[in-house]
Amino acid sequence: MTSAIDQINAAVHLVAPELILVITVCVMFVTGPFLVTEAGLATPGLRKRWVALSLVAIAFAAYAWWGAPVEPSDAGMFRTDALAWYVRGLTLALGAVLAVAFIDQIDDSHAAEGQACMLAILAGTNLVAIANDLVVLFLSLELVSIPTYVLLYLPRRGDANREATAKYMLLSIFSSAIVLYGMSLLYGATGTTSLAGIAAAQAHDPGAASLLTRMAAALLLAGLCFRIAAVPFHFYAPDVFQGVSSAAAAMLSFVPKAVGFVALLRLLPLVDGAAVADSAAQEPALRVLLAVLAVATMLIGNLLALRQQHLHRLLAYSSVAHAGYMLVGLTVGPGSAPVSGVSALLFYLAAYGITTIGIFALLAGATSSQSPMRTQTDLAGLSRLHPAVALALAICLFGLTGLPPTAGFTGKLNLFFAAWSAGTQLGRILAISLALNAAISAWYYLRLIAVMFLEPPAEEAAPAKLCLAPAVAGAVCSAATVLLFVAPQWLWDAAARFSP
Amino acid sequence: MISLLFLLLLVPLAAGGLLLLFAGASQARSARWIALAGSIAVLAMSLSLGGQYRQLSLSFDRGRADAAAASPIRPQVEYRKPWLTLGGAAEQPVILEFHFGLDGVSVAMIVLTALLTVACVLISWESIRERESEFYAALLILETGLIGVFCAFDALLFYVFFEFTLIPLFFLIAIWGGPQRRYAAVKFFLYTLAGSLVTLLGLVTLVGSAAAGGLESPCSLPQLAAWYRDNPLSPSWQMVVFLALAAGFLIKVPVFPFHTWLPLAHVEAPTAGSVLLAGVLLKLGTYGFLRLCLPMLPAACLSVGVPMAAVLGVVGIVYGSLCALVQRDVKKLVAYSSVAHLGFCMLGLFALNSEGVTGGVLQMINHGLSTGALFLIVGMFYERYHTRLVDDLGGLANRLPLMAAGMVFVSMASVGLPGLNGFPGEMLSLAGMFKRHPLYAAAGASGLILGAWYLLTMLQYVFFGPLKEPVHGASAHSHPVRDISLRELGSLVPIAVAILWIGLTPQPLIDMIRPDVEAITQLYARGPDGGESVAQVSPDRTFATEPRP
Repeated sequence: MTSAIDQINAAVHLVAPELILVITVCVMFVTGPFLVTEAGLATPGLRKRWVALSLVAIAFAAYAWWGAPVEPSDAGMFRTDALAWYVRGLTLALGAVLAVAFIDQIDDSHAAEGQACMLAILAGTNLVAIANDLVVLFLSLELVSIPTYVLLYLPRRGDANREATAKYMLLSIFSSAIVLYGMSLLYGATGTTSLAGIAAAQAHDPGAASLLTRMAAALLLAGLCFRIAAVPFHFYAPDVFQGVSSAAAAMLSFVPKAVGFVALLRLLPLVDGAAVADSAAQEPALRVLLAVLAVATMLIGNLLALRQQHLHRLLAYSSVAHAGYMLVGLTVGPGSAPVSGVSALLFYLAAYGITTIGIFALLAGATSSQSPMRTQTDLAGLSRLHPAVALALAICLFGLTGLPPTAGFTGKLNLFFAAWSAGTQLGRILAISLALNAAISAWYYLRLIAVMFLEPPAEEAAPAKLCLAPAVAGAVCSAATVLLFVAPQWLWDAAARFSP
Repeated sequence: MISLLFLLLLVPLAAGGLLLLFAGASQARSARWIALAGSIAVLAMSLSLGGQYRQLSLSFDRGRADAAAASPIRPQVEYRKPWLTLGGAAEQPVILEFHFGLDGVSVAMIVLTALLTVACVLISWESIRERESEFYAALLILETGLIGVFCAFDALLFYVFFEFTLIPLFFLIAIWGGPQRRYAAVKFFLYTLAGSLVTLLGLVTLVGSAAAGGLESPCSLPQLAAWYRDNPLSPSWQMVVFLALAAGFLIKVPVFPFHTWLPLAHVEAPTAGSVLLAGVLLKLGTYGFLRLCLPMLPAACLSVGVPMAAVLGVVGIVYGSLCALVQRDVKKLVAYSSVAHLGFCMLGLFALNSEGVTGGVLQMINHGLSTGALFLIVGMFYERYHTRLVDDLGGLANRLPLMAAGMVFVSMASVGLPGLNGFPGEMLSLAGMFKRHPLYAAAGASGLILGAWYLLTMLQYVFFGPLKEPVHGASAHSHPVRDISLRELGSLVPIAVAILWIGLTPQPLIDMIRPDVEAITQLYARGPDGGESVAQVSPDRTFATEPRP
C-alpha cells in the first residue's frame, strides 16, 4: 500500500497543472447548480464570473506549468518531457482565449457547466501529452471527448445543434472504440501497457508479432485520424461545425487536432519504429500511407472548401486541409535534416491554433442574436460596421492562407523546408502538393476577405453591437500571429526541444 | 545609413498604421495630408540615402574592383540580425535573418519607389472620394513592402516582402478600382500568388541544398551567391531550380504568355494603383531574376534563361506593341506598352554581359518613370472626362495645352527619344543582347518602331486634330475643364526632372549600378584563359560543372 501512495505522491507534482484544472471543474460542477433557481434562472451576468474563475484556474495551472520539470521522467504513468511542456503551454494559452470566446455563447444558467467542460477538455489535452501508459492515454482521450459532447449540446440552439452533437458523439465513440482495439492489439503484441515498456519490447525484438503490430498501427491511425479530421475520416466535420456555436467550433477546430497529433506522435514510433527512425531509400509502408493521407486530406479539404457558403462549413473544410498540412510534418518525421518535420508540425499546430481560434473568436464577437454570422453574406460590409474586427479577421485569414506577415507563413515555410530537405521523392511530392494547396486555399480565404471589404453592408442591418470580450480575444490572437511572425525563434526552440 | 534605411521602412508603415487607426470619414482631409507628409519624408530620406550611398561608393569603389573573391552580390551597407534558426539541434541549421542591405540597384529602386509614391498621393487627392484614410494607408503600407523587397538581402526575407506587396495592392484594386475591380483583383492576386509559391519551392531548394552542403548562413544572398559560384549545382538541377524561380518572376514581370492578368489589373486599378503596379511592382519580377537567377544559376541562365528570355522577350515586345496599337482604351494601351517595355528589360538582363544587364536595370528604372507618368496623365484626363476611349476624345491640346505637352514629353521618353531616359536603357539592353545573339537584338529593335507607332497614333488622336470632348464629361457641368492644376503638376514635375536628368546625364546612375552589375556579369565573363569577351565563351566550356558532393 505504501508504495502505491508513494507512487501517487510522486506523480502529483508531475500533473499539478491538470490537478488544478480538474479541481476547479469539480468546484464548478458542484456549486453551479446551487446558483440557479429551480426554474432555471440565474443572476444576469453570472456567466462572467464563471469565465473569470476559469481564467484564474488557467492562470494557476500556467504558473504550475512554468515551474514544472521539463526533463523527461520515463518511470511511472506520466512523462513530462519537452512535448508535454509544449502542449501544456499551448493549450493553456489558447484555453484562456477559448474561455473568453464562450462567454456569450452559453446562457447564465449553464455557464458553470460550460466552463467546467472546457477546463476538463484542456486538462484532458494536457494529459494526452503527459500519458506514459496506454490506459492513461485512453482515459485522457475520453476526458477530452466526453465533456465535448456536453459542451456542444449546452447552447441548445435548435435541431441543427442537436444533430451536430449526436453525430459527433456517435462517431467519436466509434473512433474511441477503434483506438481501444488498436491499443489492445498493441498490448497483446508486447504484454505491457507502458509506452516506455512497449518501446523497449519493440526495440528488443523488432520482428515479434509484426502482424499484430501492423494491425494495431492501422487501427490507431484510423481512430486518431477521426480526431484530426483527416480524409477519409473528415465527413462529420462540416455538419458538426455548422450546427455548433462559434466558440464550440473554435474548440473543435483546435483541441481534437492537438490531441490527435500528440497521440500519433506518441504512438506511431511504437507501432512502427522503423517508420520514424530511419529514412532509407526504401520508404516504410506506414510513411507512404501517411503521405497518401496527407495529400488526400489537403486536396479534398481545399477543393470542398471552395464551394461552401456557410462560414462554419467553410472553416471546417479548411481545418481538414490544415490537418493535411500537419500530416506532412508527421510524414516527414524527425529524421529530416536540417529541419525536423515533427518540430515543423508542432510549430504549425501553434500557429494554426492561434489563427483559427482567433477567427472563431472574432466571429463570436461579431455575432449577436439579431445578426448571426452564419453565411458568407453575413460578413458583407463588416469593414464598415466594425473596421477593427474586419482587419483582425483579415489578418487571421491571411494567416491561414500562409501569407506574410503572419505566423501562418512561418509555419508553412517550416513544413516546406522539412518536406523538401528530407531529400526523398516522397518529401518532394509532399512539398509540391503543399505549395499547390496553399494556392488553392488562397481562393476561398480571399473570397471571405473580399466580402468583408468590398460588399456594402446589408441595407436593414443597424450596426450590431459587438460582443466585446471575444472580439478582443480574437484581436489578441491576430496580433499574436503577426508578433509570432516577427519573433518566431522562442516557439521554434520550444518545439524543437522534443525529438521522439 | 542603416538607421536611415530603417526609417525608410518604418515611416511609411507608421504613417499607414496611423491612418488605419484613425480611419473615419471625417478625417479625409487630414488623411491626405498625413499621407503626403509621410511620402515626402520618405522621398527626402531616400534622396539623402542616395547621396550618402554615392559618397560611400566613391570611397569604396577601388576596394571593390579588385575583390575578385568577393560574392557576386555585394551590399555595401549591411544589417543582420537572426530571425529564425531552424533545426537548432541539427549540425547545419538553416538561419533566417533580418538581413537588410543596400547596393546600387536597390538604392536606385528605392528612390524610384519613393518618387512614385509621392506622385500617387498627389494624384489621388481628389479622385479618391471614399474611405480615404484606408486608401492612403494601403498605399503607404505598399510602399513599405516595396522598399523592403529592394533592401532585403536574405532570400526568405526577400520572399516575405515580395509576397506581402500583394496584400495592399489587392485592396487598392479591389476597393477603389473600376467596375470589374473585384474580378481583376482576385485574378491578379491568385495568379501571382500561385506563381510565387512555385518560386518559393525553388528558393527552398537553393537554400536547402546550400545548407546541406555546409554553408553557414544559407539564406543570406551574398553568401549564397558566393557559395553557388564556388560549388555550382549540377546543370540539370540548375535548370529545375531556374524554372521554379522563374515561374513566379515571369508572371510578375509579366512576360508574354503570362501577362493576361496585367491589362485587366491595370484598367481596373485606380490611377495610384496603376502607377505603383507598373512603376515598381512589375520590376519585382526582373529584380528577382537579377538577384536570384543570374548570380546563383549561371549554367541554367545560359542554357535556358537566354533562349527563353530572348524569345519570350522579343515576342512580348512585338505582341505587346501590336496589342497596344489596336487598343481603344488609352489605359489599356499603356498597360500593353508595359509588356513590350519589360521585354526590353528581359532582353537586357539575359544578355548576361555588363552592357546588357546595366541596360536592363536602367530600363527597369526608366520604365517606372515614364510609364508611371503616362498612367498619371491618363488618370488626369479620365478624372476630367470620365472616359479613356480614344474614340471619345480628340484635340485635347487645344483645351489642355499643358497636359498635352506633358503627355508628348513622357511619350517621347517612353519611345526612347535620345536625350530622354528611355534611350540609354533600351540602347544598352539591345547592345548587350546584340553581343550575345544579334538576331534577337535585331528583332527586339523592331519594338522601338512599333512603340513609336502606337504612342504617336494615340497622341495624334487624343491630343491633336479637331477638338472632341465627351458630352457627359465635365463640360456638362457648370465649370469648364481646367488644365493641369498645381497639385497635378507637383506629381508630374519631379518625374519629368528625373526623366530629363537620366536622359541627359545617365552616367552617374550607371556608375552607381555598374559595380553591382559587373560583380554578377563577372560570372559569365570567366573564360578558360580569364578572357573577358563574353560572346566568345561557350556555355559548355565555362560551366563544365561537376555534380556537387
